[in-house]
Amino acid sequence: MKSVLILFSSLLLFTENHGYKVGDLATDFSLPNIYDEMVSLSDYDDAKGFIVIFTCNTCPYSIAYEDRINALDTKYKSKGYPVIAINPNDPAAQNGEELNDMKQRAEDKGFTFPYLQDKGQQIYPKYGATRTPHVFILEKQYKGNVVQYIGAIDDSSRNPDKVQKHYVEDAVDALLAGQLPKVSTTKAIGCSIKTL
Amino acid sequence: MVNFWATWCAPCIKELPYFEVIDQREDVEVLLVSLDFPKHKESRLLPFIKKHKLQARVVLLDDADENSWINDIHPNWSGSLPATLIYTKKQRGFYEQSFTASRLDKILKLFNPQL
Repeated sequence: MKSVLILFSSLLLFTENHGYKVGDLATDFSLPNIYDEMVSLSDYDDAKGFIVIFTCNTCPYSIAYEDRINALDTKYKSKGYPVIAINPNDPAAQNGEELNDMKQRAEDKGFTFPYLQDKGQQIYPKYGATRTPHVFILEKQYKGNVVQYIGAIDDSSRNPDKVQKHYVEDAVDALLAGQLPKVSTTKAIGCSIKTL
Repeated sequence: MVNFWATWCAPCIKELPYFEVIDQREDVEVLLVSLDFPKHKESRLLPFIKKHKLQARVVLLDDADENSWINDIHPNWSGSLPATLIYTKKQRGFYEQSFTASRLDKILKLFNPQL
């Protein structure tokens, strides 16, 4: 009976996520921006860390956050935590996600941050991103970029007027003050990452 | 069987007809939980239900504090759509994925309402 139960629970657990946990070292990458120039975290000599956001053109939850992502970049880039946005969707699996579409969207919305394409979809599975938008805050330490926060931007994706908890701002503020974020993992609804 | 979906979510819309078929069964109750934007209830959600003549019960989950209720639904749920929760009195399974009709039937057979 016990083995039956174990088999049953393993069947139920097969969708469990892998990827980074808080405290892990995050991989660097070399991904094209909307001008088809390669961008890496190592390009940012002066950064203290990064707000890496997996997001895309077409997901309504991502679109609802565009202005808030711009605001995060504006607030924290000068303090050493720039936003790096990565589109994890395979453009062959979802219309409107080609580099050209990304360029159009970035220009229309006046993105102040680099918007990269996870070309070949090698990076989002390493991070363990499962949805758009999905945030990973990295702190640059001597040993590499340490994951210090994983999750949502704030606690009200569908209505910016009802935000009560600013998870990403609180986490970056803590890191800038030399502390660990009080809340280091959160969840939010988002769109599945599109693959063929 | 509780399916989390939205009118703008293409993989969700693709699998909705399979849930509608299962809803016809007497031994399974299907609940379709929409995560559409509350401001789109009149303009998108209700017209969608009408147009596709959805028979299963639909509710709009408009609680903003997702971080609190996603874990309550299932700790393994990252928050990505579509997602499906299946439970009987004693069994509980959670699936953050899209289904084909046959895959959904197979999964459903793992659940015994008598248990």
